[in-house]
Amino acid sequence: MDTKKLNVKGIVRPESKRLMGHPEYVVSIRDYTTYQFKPYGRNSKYFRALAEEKKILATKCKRHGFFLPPRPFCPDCQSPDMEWIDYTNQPAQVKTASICKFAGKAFLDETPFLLGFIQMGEAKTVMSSVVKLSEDSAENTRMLNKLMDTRRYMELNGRKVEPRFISHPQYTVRDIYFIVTDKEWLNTLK
Amino acid sequence: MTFKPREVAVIGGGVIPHSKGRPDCNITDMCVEAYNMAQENLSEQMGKPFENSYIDALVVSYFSDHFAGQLLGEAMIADSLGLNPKRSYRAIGGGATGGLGVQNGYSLIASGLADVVAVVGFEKMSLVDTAEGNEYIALASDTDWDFANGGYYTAYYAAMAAEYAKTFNIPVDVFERQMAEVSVKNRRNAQSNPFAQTSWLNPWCVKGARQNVTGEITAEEVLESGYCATPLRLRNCCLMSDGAAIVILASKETAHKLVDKPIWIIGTGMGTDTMRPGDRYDTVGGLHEYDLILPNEDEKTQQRYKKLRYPGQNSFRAGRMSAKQAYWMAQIENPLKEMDVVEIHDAFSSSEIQTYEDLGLCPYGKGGEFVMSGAANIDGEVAINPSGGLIGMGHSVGSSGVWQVYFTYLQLRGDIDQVFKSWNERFKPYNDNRNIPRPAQVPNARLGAGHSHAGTGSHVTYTILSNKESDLERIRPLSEFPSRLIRRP
Ligand SMILES: [Zn+2]
Repeated sequence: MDTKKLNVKGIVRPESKRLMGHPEYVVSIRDYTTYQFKPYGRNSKYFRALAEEKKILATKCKRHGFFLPPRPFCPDCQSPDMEWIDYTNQPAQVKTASICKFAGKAFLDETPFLLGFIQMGEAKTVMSSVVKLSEDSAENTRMLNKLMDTRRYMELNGRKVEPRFISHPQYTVRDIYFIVTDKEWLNTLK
Repeated sequence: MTFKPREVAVIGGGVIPHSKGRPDCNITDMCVEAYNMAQENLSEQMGKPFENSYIDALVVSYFSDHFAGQLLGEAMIADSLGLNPKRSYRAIGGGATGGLGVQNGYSLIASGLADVVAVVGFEKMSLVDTAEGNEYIALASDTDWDFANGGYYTAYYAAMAAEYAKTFNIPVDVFERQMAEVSVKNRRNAQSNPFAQTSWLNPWCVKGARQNVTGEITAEEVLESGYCATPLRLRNCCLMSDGAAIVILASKETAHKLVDKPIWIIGTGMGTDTMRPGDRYDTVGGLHEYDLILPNEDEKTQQRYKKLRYPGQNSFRAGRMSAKQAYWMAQIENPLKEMDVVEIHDAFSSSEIQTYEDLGLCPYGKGGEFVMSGAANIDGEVAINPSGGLIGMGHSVGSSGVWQVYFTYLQLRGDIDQVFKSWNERFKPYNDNRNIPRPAQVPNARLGAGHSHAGTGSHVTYTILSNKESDLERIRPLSEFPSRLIRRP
């Protein structure tokens, strides 16, 4: 975008200008796009396993138990002596969730989507993730809409889910999503 | 007692009309406009001009360099307020930025490092549209783990609201109706506040355009507004705002020299929690485990809390910690009976309900019933958000915690209606000659507070004010705050 001066006449409400006697306030447009190379540090292990081996890794402190998202240092005792454990096949459920009809700008075209906090195995913490009701995007949307229209969205809490790994991983948390497995319940949304 | 902090007063302040966009103001303009109001008001009280030379330090609070489009904006604020080369500090901490600013100002004076401090907060959020703004705000979530799942803060609060309803077995219809009531109350209160973004009195309010943006709102209208993120609907959400506010703090001795009716800061609590809401353990009996039981919680309630999973994603432990400290410091035993007015950080209707409980105004799980009973109304047991709160007044992030304290100051002085009326007279040429619909004053207000809250509850400040000088004798130093979580050698 070229940096040019814009008269805000077109975008400011006329009554707003009335206060100040119709002066012409001016704004400049600034390109704020940046690319950052943000390191995962010691959690790189998690993102590599996720992308390259299709595995979910949790960490374990001998004294304070399991953590997912993994903590490379125990948040309770700061011990670096953490064991990395394959958690891929641990039972998973949605602890709580929200159907989003709006989102940050970069995610608007994904709405509606379901954000869930996933409880796996014995982890003391829960991990946020996108949750799907169907692999078919149109059907997923219909089901989410039905949950909203009928105000049945609280039924999401406690649902069993399984992880799915995307085919072209990008080394982000979006390399996995979870899918609801309770067929009987899903049928009630069809 | 090993140490007694110096006593601190709020002696004045100011705020600007909040708006979705104030194209007439850049960040310094907003702050100077707020300061002009404070100067005018202080000069009236003093009977002579209040000048910059009375101020010996500045605290500037703004949340986001992204929204400001500026790093080191605090330098421009100090300059525009004419305070160079005196001391200036920036306070920052998400949505609690304003509250942290006030508490930083308090600390400077209480510790003897300064005598008169100006705390100015601002946020200018109109640089970008709402979706981009949501993305900026979501940068205040963990950007490795949470941001990429939608870049949307509302979703975290929404999932926490759902967890809250599940924990306390509140049916969806009942919960949505309770949340609607919070919005109805705050929008109603905002109508008497000429600085509130949703008030018809405000020259910068949105007139026409989309439905329900300005004016009172009914529960039906809240429930008919679409979901942003279940269970939160559009009218359950706070506003994005351009705004600024300022409070001037002074030591007791100086306050008495300058003004007739200072308002005293008698409690400054502050608590924290994890950045990611998912990292908060579901500790059975957590309120006991983290030593967060309040003095007004009886044996039966305490027994019930032994079985309660806390905080997990159902409550804000940082809020409870801030309340416990502030009440201990100010020796408040029964918050519901003693507090008269509390400005709560109602980022969402759900979080106002959750916060009643964290602040000990009602038991955990009963916040919805509390608001439905009318207890939180201006004429209720404790007026919550008589200014309109973040839903009605607006959320100018770095300034919200500052105007909470400014409006509470006016409430405790008993002259809020007079101040609102005199400003409304100036606004009349621009608001179709509207009159203030009803009083904003909470009758006989003596104790008030501002509750400022960051992230999904990562930082919470709770600042208690009193209009009785004798209440200063209640103050206990927080360095002696008893807690199982703090070992004192
Ligand atoms: Zn540990």
